[in-house]
Amino acid sequence: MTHAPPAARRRAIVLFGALGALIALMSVADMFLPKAWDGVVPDPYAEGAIHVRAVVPGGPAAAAGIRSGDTLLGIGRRMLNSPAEAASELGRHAAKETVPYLVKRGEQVLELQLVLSPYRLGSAAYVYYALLGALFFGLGLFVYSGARGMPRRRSSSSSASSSCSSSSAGSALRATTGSTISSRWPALSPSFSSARSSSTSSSSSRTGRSSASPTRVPGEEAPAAPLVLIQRFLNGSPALFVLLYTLPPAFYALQMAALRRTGDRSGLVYGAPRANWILLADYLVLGLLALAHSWWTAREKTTRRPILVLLLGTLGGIVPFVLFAVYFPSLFRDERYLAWGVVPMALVPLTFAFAIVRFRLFDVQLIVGKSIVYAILTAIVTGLYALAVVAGNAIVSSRTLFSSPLFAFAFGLAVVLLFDPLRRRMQAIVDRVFFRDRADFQAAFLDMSRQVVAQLDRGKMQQLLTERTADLLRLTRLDLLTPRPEDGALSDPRRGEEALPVGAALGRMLADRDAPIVLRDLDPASLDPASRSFLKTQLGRGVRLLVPVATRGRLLGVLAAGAKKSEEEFHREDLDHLATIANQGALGLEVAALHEQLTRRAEVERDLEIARDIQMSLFPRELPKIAGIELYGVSIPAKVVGGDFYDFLPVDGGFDGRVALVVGDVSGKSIPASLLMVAAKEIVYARAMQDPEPSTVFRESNRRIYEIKRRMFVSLGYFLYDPVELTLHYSVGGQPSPLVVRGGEVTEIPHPVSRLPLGALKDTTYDAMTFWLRRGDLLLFYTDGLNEAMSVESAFFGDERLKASLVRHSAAPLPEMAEEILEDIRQFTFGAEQSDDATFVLMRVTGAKPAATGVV
Amino acid sequence: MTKPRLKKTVLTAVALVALGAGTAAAVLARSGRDVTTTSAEAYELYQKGLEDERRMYHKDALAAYAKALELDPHFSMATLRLAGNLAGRDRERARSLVQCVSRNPGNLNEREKLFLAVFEAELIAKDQKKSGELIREYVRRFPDDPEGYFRLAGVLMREGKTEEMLATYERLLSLDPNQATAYNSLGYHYIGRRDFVKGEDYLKRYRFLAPDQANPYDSLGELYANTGRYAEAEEHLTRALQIRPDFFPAVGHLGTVEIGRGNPEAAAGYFRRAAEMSESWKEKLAFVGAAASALLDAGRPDDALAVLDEAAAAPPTSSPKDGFYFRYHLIRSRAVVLALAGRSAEAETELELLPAVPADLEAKEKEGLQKSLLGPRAAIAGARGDLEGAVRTLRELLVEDKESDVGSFPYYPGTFRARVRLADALVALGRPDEAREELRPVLAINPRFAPALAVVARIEGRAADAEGSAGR
Repeated sequence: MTHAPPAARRRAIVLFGALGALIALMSVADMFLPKAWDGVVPDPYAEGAIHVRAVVPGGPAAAAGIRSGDTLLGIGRRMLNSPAEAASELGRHAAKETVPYLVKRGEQVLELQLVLSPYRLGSAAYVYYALLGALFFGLGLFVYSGARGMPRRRSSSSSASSSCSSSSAGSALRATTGSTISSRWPALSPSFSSARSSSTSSSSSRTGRSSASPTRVPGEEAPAAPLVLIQRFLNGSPALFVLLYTLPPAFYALQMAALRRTGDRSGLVYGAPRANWILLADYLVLGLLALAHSWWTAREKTTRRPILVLLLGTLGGIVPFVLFAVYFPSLFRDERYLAWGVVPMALVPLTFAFAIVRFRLFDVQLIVGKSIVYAILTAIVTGLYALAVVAGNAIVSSRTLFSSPLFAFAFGLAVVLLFDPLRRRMQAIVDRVFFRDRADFQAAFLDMSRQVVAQLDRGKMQQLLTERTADLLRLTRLDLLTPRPEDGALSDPRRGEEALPVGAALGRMLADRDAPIVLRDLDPASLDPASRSFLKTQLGRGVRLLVPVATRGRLLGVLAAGAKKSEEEFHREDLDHLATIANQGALGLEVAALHEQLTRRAEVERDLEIARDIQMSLFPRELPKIAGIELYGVSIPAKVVGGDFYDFLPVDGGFDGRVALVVGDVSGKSIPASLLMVAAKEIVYARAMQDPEPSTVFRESNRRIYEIKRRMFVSLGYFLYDPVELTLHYSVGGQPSPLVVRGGEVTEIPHPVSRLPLGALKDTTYDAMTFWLRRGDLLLFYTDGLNEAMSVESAFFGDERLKASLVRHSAAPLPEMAEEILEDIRQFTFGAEQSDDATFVLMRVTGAKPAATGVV
Repeated sequence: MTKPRLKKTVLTAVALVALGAGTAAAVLARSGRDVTTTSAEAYELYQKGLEDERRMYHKDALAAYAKALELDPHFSMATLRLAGNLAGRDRERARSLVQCVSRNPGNLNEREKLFLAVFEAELIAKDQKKSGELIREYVRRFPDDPEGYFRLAGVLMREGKTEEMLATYERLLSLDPNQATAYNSLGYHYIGRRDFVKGEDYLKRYRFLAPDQANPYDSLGELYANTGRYAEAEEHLTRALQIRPDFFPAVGHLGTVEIGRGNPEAAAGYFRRAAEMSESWKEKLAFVGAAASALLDAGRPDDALAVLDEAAAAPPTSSPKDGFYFRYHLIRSRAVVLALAGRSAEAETELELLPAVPADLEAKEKEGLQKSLLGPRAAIAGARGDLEGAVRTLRELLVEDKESDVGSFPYYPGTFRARVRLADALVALGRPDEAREELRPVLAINPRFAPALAVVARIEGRAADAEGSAGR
């Protein structure tokens, strides 16, 4: 979302800018136009009279005979009482004009004629001023032009970390929403600070991280290359701002040194060295710009308002002061309007007081803490200074060095360098000593935050989050509304109250912002009916704030906070805490959800293991000893449980009679398939026990399976082995025909005509065939998971490879043979996941009765 | 534009308009006229009259007020100002003008009403106490009007409250340090206290503020003339006359310079010229008296008498009282001239011609008239050879010569001259030390006062002769 200034505002800014530039140009020109000058340096502190402190050598006053110590009674036929009146009178005359001065010298009153000289106020100092002004003008222009194409950003400094010790002096200015007012100069413009999309911003601010590299919002116009370069330079060069702040004192030092060397006292402007005024004005301008910048970059309306009030109040106080109390008296020597400049200065403290009271802008405790810190620091610095002077005098035995303003300046610079580390240490001590309650609160808060994130039980975590937070912040209530599983509507699961449906305006609002919403600030008219209804319900419950619990732009829930037990309004600090708690809650909810997912998966896996065991128990535990044949069966499910099965059914009551060999494959895999497999197996077993005739078993089983589950099929091979006849009477539905190796040749057993899998059609008939076995025959009954095993290239193992493998290993005992066949398949499918259950039964005919091969 | 924004804009506009209107009203109220007249031209003339008054150009002020009244006959303040300026020369006319305004006050504002009351108290009721109260009320109600302070200072001076008078001027100058005439008043006050340094300080400030006016130069010239700084006096007085050739006080003070230098003849010329230029009978009488004294000093008593006689030919007609005073002082002057010329009998005869003092004069006035006769009596005693009597009478005269708070010097330094005559008498009586003591106050003020220096020289010469005789 871009925040380009509206067209009207742009026009107004351009208009004011042009006006300001015109005034600046005229001012510059005026400074270099000759003005009338008398060469008198009045004593600015004399009251009711104008005492001549000095006359500039060679100046008009010196030429006319005015001396130091004289008293000016009047200039230009006007009696005067103050230097400002003198300046005002002088301003009425032109250069080269002869003006009478009434001077009192001792008891004498003299009337002297001065020929006023032309004098240009503009000097090197003024050029410096102008250049500095131009620099700031350029930066301002850049800020303005940069802001047009870029989003207005929030400060990257987070309010999540709100401990006393870590907060800087500037953090006394806090925003309501987790975004803090930019209190330091380095983030000069919106373009200079790290740019983030709203979701990124939200995430970063909540986790206390900030991105250093600009990220443009999608769809935004890309800034021009030079702007990007400047951005990068400024982002990477906080030294520039250090330089800006260092320039004025450096200039001050230079000028003071120059004044001392030349002994020129005409650099005095209204009593103080001009350098003092320069220093004052520079920092004044820098401070105002910093304030203006904070206002410009603050995102929230609630944040911008107090800053604007402060800015306007400061401007309203300082501008008249500079104009009437400094500019007029200094340059026009007219202090008639002094009160007009001094009185409005009261606006500055008044505005701050107003801002503190009205916007709860400052944390009074913090201010008190800071005051203590700075008072102690001042005492330490003063002590150090005195110590340095005393020690210096003792060592150097010269007072020249220490009486020099340069010494004070150098000492001041040293203090500036040491100030911050010293301040941090002092701050920690003061916090510990003076703000134990606050520190305890912070500790409890951090502990609770840690517990919330560490708690894996969602319910307990929610309880911890709501109950402990309500306790810490002394809230009448705090509920966590979470999305309902069935429809995603936000509701309190403990109460059956009205929920906020997905897509409601209020929900979108909560998802879009990462700051608490004060319900009474909402305009119900701007909401949809569902949101309005929800809002009414919440207000009825005593809820005052809704705090979004979101992570990565996803709304996980909403904290609904009631009023404070103390009935106080919510402070910014409370809102910050709630935003931080919501942040922690979001993390906790995510962790809990992840934990629940893992637990569920483990349970499923455990159940699957049990199911596998159960399924495995359904397979023959021991291979039955059947006259005339050897058997070996293998079933490998693709999942933990599978849909394949095989069994041997003694249809005549024992394995010395007829035995039905059943190989089945249920469509699908895993649990559903395994369940159907069990059912199918039981159906087939029951039918076979009643009537082992294959066609009958197929027909009856088909009907039953069809009824159990439609669109799930069971491919089945039913082979009724007759040890007497040494035959296999069989039906096959949906399965590959078994392979038989006889005399080194491998062939498929003939397949009945009807080969539909069971359950495909409700009423269908199956025919049966008989295969006469011979001694030495090796038969392989298998499901399609064997020949359709897939390689990584998605190629089937295939019938031919299966046949070849069978032939190749046909001489081996059945268990080894089975292993070898599986090994061949494994080699083929190496690296690929098993795609289907694979089941096969090997039968070797060992009986002696010869029989003719044929199909019945 | 949204509704709240429109409301805010309208409220802001209303507030700005109210602020602007209030400011404009305040400015207009301040700059509004403080007098009632229907004629803008008359108002301009009135203002000119005020400025002329401040400049001490009374003749011009009178003309301006009179012209203003021609344009607006109901211009009360112009009428009162005219009365105020006429009071010194034609009191009756001034009174009738005030009565005229009293009868037809018209639509006067509060300030004008109070002003009228002050004039009524001063000129009609002649109640100075009431006048003082009214002026105090005026200052209370109109503390921004400098005129109130000037008038109050006058009242305080009249009441002898010197310190309060000074405080009043200080207060006025703290309100407006550019009230030139206040410096003039303060200068004269300090001269009256014989603090000539301070007096000169204030008069120089006056000159600095009003270098285009004749009076500041005249004031300084008067100071210099009476303190022996003749060259500076001449320079300033000449400058005054350059600025305003008809500024007769400067001519009179040039006469003072010549007296101080010991050139009475030249002085007489200036005094006679000043008398011709002066506008009121009182001033004329003063200059005539000065001219007569100067001529007497020059050894020309007949010319002195002639001057007095010439003046007597044109007595004032403004009122019987003025005529009485005029005649009284001329006869007294004639008596002095005759006595000092050695014609004591004629002098005594002359004094017998003095008119009877009107019964309606105040006691203080009567007392003043009596004391004014000490001069001629001392002169008569001296002419008769009764030096002791002369000394006694002169001492009585000089003791009674109270210094004025105003501090202006008479054109003819009569007091100095009296002391010189006293010293002369004492020398003649062989009491040079007493003579020196009598001259000391004169020389303290004007160490270059030639007549005194001549007596001193005589005293010193006699002492030298005595020492020489003793030596011989």
